[in-house]
Amino acid sequence: MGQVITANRLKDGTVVFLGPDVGWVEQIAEARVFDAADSIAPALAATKKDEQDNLVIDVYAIDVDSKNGILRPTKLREAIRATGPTVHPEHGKSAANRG
Amino acid sequence: MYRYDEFDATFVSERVEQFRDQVARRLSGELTEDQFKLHRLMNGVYLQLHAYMLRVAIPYGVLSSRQLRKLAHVARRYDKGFAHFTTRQNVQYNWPALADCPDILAELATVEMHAIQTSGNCIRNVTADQFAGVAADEVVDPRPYAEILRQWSSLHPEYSFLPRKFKLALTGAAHDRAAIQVHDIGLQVVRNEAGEIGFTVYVGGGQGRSSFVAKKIRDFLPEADLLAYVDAIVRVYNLEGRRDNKYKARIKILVHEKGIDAMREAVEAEFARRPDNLLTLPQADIDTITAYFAMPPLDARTTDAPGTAERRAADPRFAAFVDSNVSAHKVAGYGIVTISLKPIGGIPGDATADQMDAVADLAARYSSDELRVTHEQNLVLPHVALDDLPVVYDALDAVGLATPNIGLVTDIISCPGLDYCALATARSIPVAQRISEHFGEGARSREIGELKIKISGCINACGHHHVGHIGILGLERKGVETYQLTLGGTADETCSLGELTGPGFSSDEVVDAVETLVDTYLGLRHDSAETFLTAFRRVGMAPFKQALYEKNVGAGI
Repeated sequence: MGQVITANRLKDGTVVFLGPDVGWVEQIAEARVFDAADSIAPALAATKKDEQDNLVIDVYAIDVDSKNGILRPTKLREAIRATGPTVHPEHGKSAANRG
Repeated sequence: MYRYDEFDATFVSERVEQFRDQVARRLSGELTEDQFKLHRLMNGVYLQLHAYMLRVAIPYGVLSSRQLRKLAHVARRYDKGFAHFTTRQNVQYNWPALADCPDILAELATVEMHAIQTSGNCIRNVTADQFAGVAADEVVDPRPYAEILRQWSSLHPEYSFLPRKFKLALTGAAHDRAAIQVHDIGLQVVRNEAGEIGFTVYVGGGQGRSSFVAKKIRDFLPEADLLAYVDAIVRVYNLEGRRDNKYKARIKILVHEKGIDAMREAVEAEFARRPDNLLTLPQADIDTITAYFAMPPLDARTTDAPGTAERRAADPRFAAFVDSNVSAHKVAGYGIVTISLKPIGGIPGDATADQMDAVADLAARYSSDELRVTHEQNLVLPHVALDDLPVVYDALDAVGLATPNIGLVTDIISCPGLDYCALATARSIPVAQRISEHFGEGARSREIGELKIKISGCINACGHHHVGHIGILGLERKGVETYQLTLGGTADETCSLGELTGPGFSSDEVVDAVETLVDTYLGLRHDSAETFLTAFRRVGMAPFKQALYEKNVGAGI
């Protein structure tokens, strides 16, 4: 379906996604989705500044699709980064996703 | 146990302050990530999937109750209330903020702990038999030699940038509980016919992408030559080990490609080239270090332990606990209690801060203030009077730590896998949990007897799958987790690497596949005294393979 840009926050390592406006968000549901009409390359290049400004590390793009309106990475590793860990529902993104 | 001298304390404190400065410079942007990464790894800080991970060294797996309380405090204050004990007798925190790591290390330094050399291409935390100094079957306590090696290898300038990481393990008993033959160097402390202490030296063992059982390089190395000889091995490796390919950089590849005879020749030549006495251990120093590891004064206790016998007769779960979790101690009237961190359906190796505090209290009260961490991800109270077993068991049960399953099918080693690890290709913890739930705590798991299942979530084999009686390796195929099975591995003195059964199994199929293996074993064993491993060695792969692939549909890997 498209791609989103992800990274880890420098100071605490939290998984973040590039948001639709300026800045990074913690939930993939709030991430900006890039498709054919919205090229990811300039946005990815622009994140270099956030790396230089010591906000995030390890920036890269991941593939996502949408099932029943819920945005999910297509690869298991990224799905676990975005919503896991699967074994500790009380911690990390698992907890946030439970509301 | 060993206590820091002034040099050790200053060394660790200075190191914390250096890292504090490095973190501050990273957060301010003075250091780039590329510049900083090496420093953070040298201090045990990784970036994993969800957060940073801090790995803290527990030298040869020995802890005091004060140290365990500090680990609990760190878990509570800086993490999410739990910690994870690893297959290198270390402890990992899965959620620390980078900004907090210097404070965590400063807190750990107050109880003589650190994270130095828990990562990087250096000599890692030295591991040892978790029953060192207390096992009834032990010949010589390996801990003084492990401590000598720790001191020698800490920030050793020549060995801080080896071709790849380097792991040493020691045992002082003929029965190997420390997996020495799957280490870069494995040392068995022995006595010769004259009663002199020395070492049988193994080199080039290791699991992972290329797995090898170590080769014996010396039958008997005199005690005083320990450092000089180990130094000669590491120097040959440092000079000749490959640096062009990360996957061929471990000493096991050098030993394999060079051959053990040529390796021995090179090591002996390097050893012989040493200036006289430079690294020869003075007996006085050995004696000083050995004195730290003296058996604590243990009150004379009754060997028949009437309270324990009575409780055994009345309480089958307590009896099961004594049978599987208590081992023979050197001193009559005492036992070694292994605390299972494998509750049925739990995460192998995890302990909450409250559980760690409870265990620390028990160690202080009933085990001469001493604890051990096992490479099988459990904890040990090394000196428990047999009379105290009921009260210790009840206290453990109150915090969910009295599972009577040591050595049984549910005492599973599992790496963190794809739930945490940036290198993993598949999840391992959920597989361990489902196998554990499947077999449970009841009579059947006791009927099965000793069976070691070990699970890794990638080829790097942190979960020791190569040496599992049943090994499980999680891989990713076309975006889906798949699990290969190996049989017949063991890390003990009869060390062997498991043999692949055939095509892998899906996550949904893998528990049934393990059940099929267990069922096949139960059907073909001579009697209950013949363990899974013994039976496998007798009958070979054929009946297991037949049962697996006739009954289950493999994933066709």
